[in-house]
Amino acid sequence: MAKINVATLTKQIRDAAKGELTDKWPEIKDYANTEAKKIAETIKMISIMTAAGKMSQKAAKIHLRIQKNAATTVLLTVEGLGLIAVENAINAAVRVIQDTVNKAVGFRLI
Amino acid sequence: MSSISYAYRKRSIRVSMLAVLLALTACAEISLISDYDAATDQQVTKLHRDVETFFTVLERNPTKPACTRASNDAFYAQATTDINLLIARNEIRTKNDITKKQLVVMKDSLELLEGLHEVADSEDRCLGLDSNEMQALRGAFSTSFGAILKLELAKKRGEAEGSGN
Repeated sequence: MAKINVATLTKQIRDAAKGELTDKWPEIKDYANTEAKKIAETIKMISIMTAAGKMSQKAAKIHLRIQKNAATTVLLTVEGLGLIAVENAINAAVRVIQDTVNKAVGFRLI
Repeated sequence: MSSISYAYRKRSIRVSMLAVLLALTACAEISLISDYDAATDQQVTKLHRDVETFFTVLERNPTKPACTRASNDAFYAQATTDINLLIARNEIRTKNDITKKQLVVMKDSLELLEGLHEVADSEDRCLGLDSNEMQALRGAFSTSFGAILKLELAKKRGEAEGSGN
């Protein structure tokens, strides 16, 4: 059985994610790197334990699903933080122009 | 007559829509995601504490019968109740799809944990005996709970990040 190299596997997972998430990559890059490494480490742990007869294939698959769920949860948080950032930017922009616009139109538009 | 009535109705609708738009821009800043919910924050924190305690108890006493799924039924029953209540609460919050999805994923993870415990029983081994396995489980759940709380706390607009901890 081939040995698992965590660094190589992390890069493969990260590159695959990057290919799927090109548009959002700059904002999720750091989180994706961290989660890719965790998944790779879990796969390494699984490979060692199954090779030693300490873990069944059934248990191994459950472990991997739990780790994938953790990565999903992190990426959902990144999506939510992105929405809040957009919201903050729009509201800040509106606040900046508020006085100017209201004076110009002569009533409280914003 | 009917064409005048149609034009009048059309104009009325336009004026009404403009009035609603003006009212919206005048009254409120835009909101793309739900507001912070203290109850969700507290319940997620409690569930995280319960899961962490469960892992610690398993690690401290990885012997039968204490380590079996049956001996830990109270934990699974409580955790299932808590996550179902959290999902129910968050389903009714508006603009809250992301947190709801996270909680549904957490429910799946808790069910997987219970399944893993049953598999360990069937293989005649104690869940909690192997430190690497426990480290992987603890890390995955800690990451998930941390991510859910990070988003919830970020919903506190205008307050310092991490406040309320």
